[in-house]
Amino acid sequence: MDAEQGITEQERMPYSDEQRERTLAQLRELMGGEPPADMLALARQRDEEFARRRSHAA
Amino acid sequence: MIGRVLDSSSLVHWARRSSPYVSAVIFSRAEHEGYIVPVVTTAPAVTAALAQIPDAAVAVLDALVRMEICVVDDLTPGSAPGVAEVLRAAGPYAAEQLTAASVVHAARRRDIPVVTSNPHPLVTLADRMGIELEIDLIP
Repeated sequence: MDAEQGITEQERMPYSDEQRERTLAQLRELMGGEPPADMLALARQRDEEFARRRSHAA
Repeated sequence: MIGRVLDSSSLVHWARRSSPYVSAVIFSRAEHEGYIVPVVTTAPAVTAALAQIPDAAVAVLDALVRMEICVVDDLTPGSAPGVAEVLRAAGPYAAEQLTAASVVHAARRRDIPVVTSNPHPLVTLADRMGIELEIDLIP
């Protein structure tokens, strides 16, 4: 990895409740609702898997 | 929770509303509280996606790239050496692989996975850089 690796920390921007609600409302409008629950669960499961692999790699 | 890089195939699915998984990845990043967990893509990937979607879908893609949770990495003189380092693995296919290299570079900068439904152009570059590909088999 190169010197750019810290970019995720550099990019970590505050996300207010107002921004969050606005973004979620826009996404619901574009999607015609929320994504299917099983897909959200799969995305969360993969987040956990990635997190485990990253912690082992560290 | 960590961010995700969306390649051009994922952007096409987003714009066409054709992958529930890509929608779930984006929505779940947006749900995170406190700080932005980014949905990352690159200018070459956006360009490639725009070339493959109908006019009616352009507004959907445009809305995503304008959201506060979305980060689009430009291909600039400053970023060119880093993308070229990834692209070196493509050898004589470098010109065709430029979009894929920009995507892998964006993932490598942040140490996060790439979501794709078309892994073929990414596999060699991602493997060489130690980047995980999250294959969307849903569509």
